[in-house]
Amino acid sequence: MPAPQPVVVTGMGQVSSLGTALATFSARVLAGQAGVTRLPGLAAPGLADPIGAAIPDFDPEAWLPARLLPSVGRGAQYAHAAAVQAFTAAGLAREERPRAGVFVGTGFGGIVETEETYRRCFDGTGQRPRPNSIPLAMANAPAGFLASEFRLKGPNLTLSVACSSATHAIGQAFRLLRAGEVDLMLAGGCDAPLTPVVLAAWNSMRVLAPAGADPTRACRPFSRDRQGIVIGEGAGFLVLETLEHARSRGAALLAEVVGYGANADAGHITHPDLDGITTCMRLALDDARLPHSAVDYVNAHGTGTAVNDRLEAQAIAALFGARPLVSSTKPVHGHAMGAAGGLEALATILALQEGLAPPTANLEQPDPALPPLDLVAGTARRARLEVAVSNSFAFGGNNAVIVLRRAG
Amino acid sequence: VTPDTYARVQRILAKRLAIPAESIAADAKLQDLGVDSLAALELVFELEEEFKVSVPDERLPELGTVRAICDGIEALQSA
Repeated sequence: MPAPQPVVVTGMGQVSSLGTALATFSARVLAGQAGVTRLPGLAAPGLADPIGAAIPDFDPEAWLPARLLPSVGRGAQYAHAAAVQAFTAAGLAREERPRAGVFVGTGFGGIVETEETYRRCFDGTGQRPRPNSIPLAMANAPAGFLASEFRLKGPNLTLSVACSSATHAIGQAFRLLRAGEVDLMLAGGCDAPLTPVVLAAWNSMRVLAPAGADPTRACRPFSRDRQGIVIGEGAGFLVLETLEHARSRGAALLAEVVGYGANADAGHITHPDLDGITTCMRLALDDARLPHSAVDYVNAHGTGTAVNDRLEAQAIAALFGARPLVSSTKPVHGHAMGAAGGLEALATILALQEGLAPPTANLEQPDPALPPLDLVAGTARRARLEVAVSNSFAFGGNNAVIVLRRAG
Repeated sequence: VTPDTYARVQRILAKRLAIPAESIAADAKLQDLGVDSLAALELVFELEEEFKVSVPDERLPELGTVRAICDGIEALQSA
């Protein structure tokens, strides 16, 4: 067994409701400025006033030649745009790399294209599915496309683990790098779930926050009056490398990935389990060989549902007490499903880099029923942040936690 | 080949490839225009919709140029 390789982050990129550049994402996450709007054009059956963290300024042709677009689904377009940013930031050229791979998390795969194909086939007009329906809809399309575009010939996997997909993709990539099996990984997640059917189906589960007078105020994790989730979409990707590989090419280090926990509640399909999520955080810290007291900041899963936030707060308090700063960035970039862990890994790394814990937007009155936590509300909190944890807990009773450390 | 068929094929190709229609010559090879195997299937699909014809599998290899596509479509239409 070779010695474990330290694993570092050397690039990151995203597209989300906060924009298509890292700078706007960073500014708005730290300012708690939500990218949530009404979506009047989205006809979701049963949902009178849909809202979401959509991407208003996404121009596919800014990222890919128009002739390629019919063969690249929405989620893959997001993934590609985020990966281009991450690759560019890492100072990497597109060249054939046999020891570099791609792990992509996605909850819904090519759902936009699947819905369109079903509509064609079943709307009574007798249309056939298009020839590219399968390569557009298949869940692993983004991973395959990224490998082709960046010439990454190593392991290529798609992890579909609902809301923890991207965190697992990053965590599994971290493990492969740590074991020395690869030199470099592009890892993160993408999803495009703001479709009529997906939004309507979430609405039928009665977990969507209502629009209210101001949709930017709809998602309020850890608040006394929290009222559910706001769905977002986009992609968040990291370039991960072994420290050795990063140093050999003189890359700037943005952060270090030091731990990953993965487990299952083995309980209810949608209801989270206190022991499951607590254990997952503990596993991640054990993996990082760090004491619980080392954690300075927790980027919570923090969906804004009554149950998630209560159990997650209990788990954090049980493990770490009230010492670490805690916030959820979902009110600003929405719950981007399979991409959530990617966007939140970026938010967590930015926090470490800046020494600023982002606020939980819309958190004005913390729920008094929650255990005492140092919840960051209102404005970002300046603090010395060395070690941070990013939580993702998914339907399916599936949990993923990564531990990140400030570079240098 | 009628000018109408040619213009319609040109228009579909131009849209698919995101290039000006007038830049597509009659003897241009699809491969040279950047049409790969999957894109070729998409193109045939659109031509079938446009011209209300059904292109049999065995005719696909014949459709290598814009002129051959037009010839093939008109042959299918008159069959």
